[in-house]
Amino acid sequence: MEQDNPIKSDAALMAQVAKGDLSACRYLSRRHMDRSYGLACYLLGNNAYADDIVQEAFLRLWKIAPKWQAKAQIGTWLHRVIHNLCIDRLRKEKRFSSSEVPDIADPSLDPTQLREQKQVHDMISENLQKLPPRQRIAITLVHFDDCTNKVAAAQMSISVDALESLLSRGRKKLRDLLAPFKAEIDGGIK
Amino acid sequence: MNKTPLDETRMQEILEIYGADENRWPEEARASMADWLKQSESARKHLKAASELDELLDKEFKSVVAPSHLYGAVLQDAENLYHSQKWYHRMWQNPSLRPAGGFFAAIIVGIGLGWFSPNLLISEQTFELDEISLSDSVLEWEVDNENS
Repeated sequence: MEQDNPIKSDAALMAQVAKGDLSACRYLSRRHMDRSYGLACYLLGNNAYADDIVQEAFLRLWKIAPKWQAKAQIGTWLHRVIHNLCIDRLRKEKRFSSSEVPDIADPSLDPTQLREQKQVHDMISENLQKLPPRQRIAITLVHFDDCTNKVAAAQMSISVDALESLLSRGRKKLRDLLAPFKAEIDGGIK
Repeated sequence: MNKTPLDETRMQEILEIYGADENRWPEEARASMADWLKQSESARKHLKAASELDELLDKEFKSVVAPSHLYGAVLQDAENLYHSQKWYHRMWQNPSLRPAGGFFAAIIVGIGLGWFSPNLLISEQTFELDEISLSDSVLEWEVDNENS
């Protein structure tokens, strides 16, 4: 289904969705679900909320299908919606839980490796959640969502200088938080 | 693209802020950063330090897998939205079919009226109307009525 112009191929897919073609819905879900879910998890620091946000974002996608215009990629649109929904949720809640972490799936590893990798993953995930929300959001947008500095700053409604300050402090704090576990991490990720 | 060389402090900052992946660096800084990394051993050390945290973050972010129940819920929403609607709702959403719908409704009403209208008109009232039209005047008709 991929064509040269991703915007046009996405518009074609959305036309299929608008006709009620569930195979197009399945294809779009498979293609965008993991990244959408990851984005929501890291922005919110809460997997249960992330479920709600992602479901709501996809529902909006299905609803907008009949009116979709070939102006943006679906991934970009979805991430923007998820970002806005997460920010709304963070504003409402004003507090976050960080106990749950996303699942790992790598069938090529044996159970011991999987367990070690899970421990490392948990460690990084937990420490990411310890960052102040704005630092975590900045890191998530730039490192996970591959936003450029200008796009990330615009999404957070801050200047590029302010974004750089958040990224710098966030990365430094994360390095400090992970420093005591360096040996375990080096062992776990090899 | 701005090719103005950056000073070394700023280039170190860029590594600390954005990490080692050049795709994340500000576009206007990439050429200067590339030159700096080619020429300076200390630059490459900074790059290596930044890449360690990047590697952890990348592994963390790539490991995220959405739960299967979420796929189910999202697809169920699509099915509910597009397949639980009645055929006439779906038809009504298609703007090109709306005039056809109106035309079709007019045909149905016309056929219905044509079919039932003789029965509607043949009644006692019809008989009285005939009498009025056959009488010389309304007064005469009233007199006839009184006599009968």
